[in-house]
Amino acid sequence: MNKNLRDLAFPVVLLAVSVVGFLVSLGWGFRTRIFPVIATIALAVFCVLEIVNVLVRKARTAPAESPTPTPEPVPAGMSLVEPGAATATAAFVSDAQHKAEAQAEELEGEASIDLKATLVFGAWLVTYALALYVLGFLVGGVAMTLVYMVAGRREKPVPSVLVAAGVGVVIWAMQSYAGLQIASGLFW
Amino acid sequence: MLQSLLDGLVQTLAWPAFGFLLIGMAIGFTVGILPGLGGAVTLALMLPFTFDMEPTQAFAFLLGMLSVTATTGDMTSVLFGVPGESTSAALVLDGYALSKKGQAGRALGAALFASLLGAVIGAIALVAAIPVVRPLVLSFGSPEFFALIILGLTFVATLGRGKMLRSLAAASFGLLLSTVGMDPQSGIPRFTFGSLQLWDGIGLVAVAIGLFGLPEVIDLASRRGSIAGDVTSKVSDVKEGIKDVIRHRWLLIRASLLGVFIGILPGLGSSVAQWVAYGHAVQTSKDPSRFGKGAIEGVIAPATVNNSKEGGGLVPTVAFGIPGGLTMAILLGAFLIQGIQPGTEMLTTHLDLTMSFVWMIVISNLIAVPLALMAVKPIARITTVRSSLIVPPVLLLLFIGAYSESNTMFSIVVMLAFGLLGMAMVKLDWPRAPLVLGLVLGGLAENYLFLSVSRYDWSWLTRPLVLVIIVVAVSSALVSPVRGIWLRRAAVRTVTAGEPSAKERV
Repeated sequence: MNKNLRDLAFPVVLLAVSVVGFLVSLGWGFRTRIFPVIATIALAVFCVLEIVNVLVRKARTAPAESPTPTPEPVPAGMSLVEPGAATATAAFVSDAQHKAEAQAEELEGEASIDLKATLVFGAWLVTYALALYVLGFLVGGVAMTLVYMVAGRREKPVPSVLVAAGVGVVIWAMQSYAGLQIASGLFW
Repeated sequence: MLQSLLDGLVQTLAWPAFGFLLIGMAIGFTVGILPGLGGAVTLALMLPFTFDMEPTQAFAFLLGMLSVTATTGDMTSVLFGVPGESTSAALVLDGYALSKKGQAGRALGAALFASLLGAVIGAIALVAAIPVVRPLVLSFGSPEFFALIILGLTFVATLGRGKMLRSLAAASFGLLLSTVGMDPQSGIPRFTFGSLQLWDGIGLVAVAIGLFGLPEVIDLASRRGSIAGDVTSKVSDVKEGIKDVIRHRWLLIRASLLGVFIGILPGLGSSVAQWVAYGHAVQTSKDPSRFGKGAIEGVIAPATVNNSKEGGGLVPTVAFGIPGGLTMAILLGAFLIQGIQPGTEMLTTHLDLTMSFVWMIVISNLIAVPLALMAVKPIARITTVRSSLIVPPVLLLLFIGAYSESNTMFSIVVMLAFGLLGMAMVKLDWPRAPLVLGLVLGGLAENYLFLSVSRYDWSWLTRPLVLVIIVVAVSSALVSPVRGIWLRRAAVRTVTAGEPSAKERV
């Protein structure tokens, strides 16, 4: 998808949500609607501003992409704005920060997630949830753990069975000792 | 106050609260070391397990986990150059450089000892802040608290590093989501669209797990093999690292105070704190060229800040109900789950509970740091566990965590829906933390707004303190765009000044 369209998609959806929310809240009494109205107006305003922001950015980048001469690139670590103010320390820390943060963000899943893998995993999650509903947490949890490890050829049978058994013991312990009410499924 | 401090100690050491502290620490130990699972995600995952606990037990469990996560996250940064937490990223620079030089033990000793002292100083700051903050909080009415919540949301949103509008929109969306369900004042269901399940509102646990947990698990699932390689670093000279910390005691104190200050300011997250401390260490060093190549000060400063900011972060959370960041926002969720209203209550009737927080942070670090120092190598082996072995149990925890919130499958549906939203937000580069913050603060904000309007009609808007807070909120919201415009103009001026003018070209 085009980057600008992609950037526009989310604020447009949120704007639609805010409009629906605003219209629905108009049907309530003053005390009931005051906070939702404030929230929907704020949401709408920020979404509109974000949409304008994306469109302005698009308009700005369009002439920049034309083959006009561009200024000399700024040397690494130097600021375009205030060359004198960019001390070596700040440049070093900033550079190091960007590198390390990028690494940390990648580890925390902030980096772009592969779409195909995400879809496959998403479908598997829905199946997992259905299995928990139908078979219950104990049977469903153990079964889906085995499916994940064996069917995906992620692990050999022995560690797979061990992990699945561990998962079963954890669910049983949570149910029996931690007092958690866990669904037992539709059949038993 | 001294009596409350002692009561807090007794409550922390009482059984089973102390047992929960130890369990929380064990979880925090593992999570801190495992890259990919952050403290905030784990906190969200563990929230449902606190439903049936007493307040002291619940907070012992959660704070024990959180404090240790920040400490042990430093270990993988030093040993493998892989941050266990995003808050430990700055430690990679000099910590890993020292490891490569064969001084991993020294770096770990310094990092862990500095973490311990940082945590203690942060906890002392929390105690010291209470007599200062208490008269202020007691003088506040509902209008001031409402204005403070708006200020907190603005701070968090404006610090979204170039994504201010997105952050503000996400926070507003969170506020809107908080209104779903039965209106507490009039009893009218709002935005339920005929669904009885939505009458209780959208659960914080399911939302937090979905938004943060699912994308993390998907990321973990997409990795093959172990998170880090084999433990090859030589771990010795731990004592040398401890001596280094004592040698650089003034840097430690400065970094601790910096952490407390940053923790108190709503919106400045831990990721910012470590870099500010690192920058401070570089600036105050006689030889800045050593940094990045294995300077011990580059290990001490971020490690100290990482832990001292927890004590600082608890000050606005406990006193005003304004969380300093995501972890504090989720912790605020725990307050609400326990039926405790942050603010006046926490500094009067529940002062002993507030004081127990201090002991929980100190005691968990006092136990965790020596343990980590003694067993660095076996602990570090946790990172060699394959992600395929971690994903199934973590995934199950996500499902159980979401289900336990309402004991219905509907919570799982909510979690999956917000998981989808979380992935979309990651993909489209939208910040997720302001959304959770809006959801957590929305209920409180509406309550304070209702009380303000009921008591003072609209004249509450003219109260001097409210005006001051609103001015600060608006200015902080305007600072970022105004600075952006100023920088763009300055950049254009710089570029055009360097080019020959049209006349000159002719």
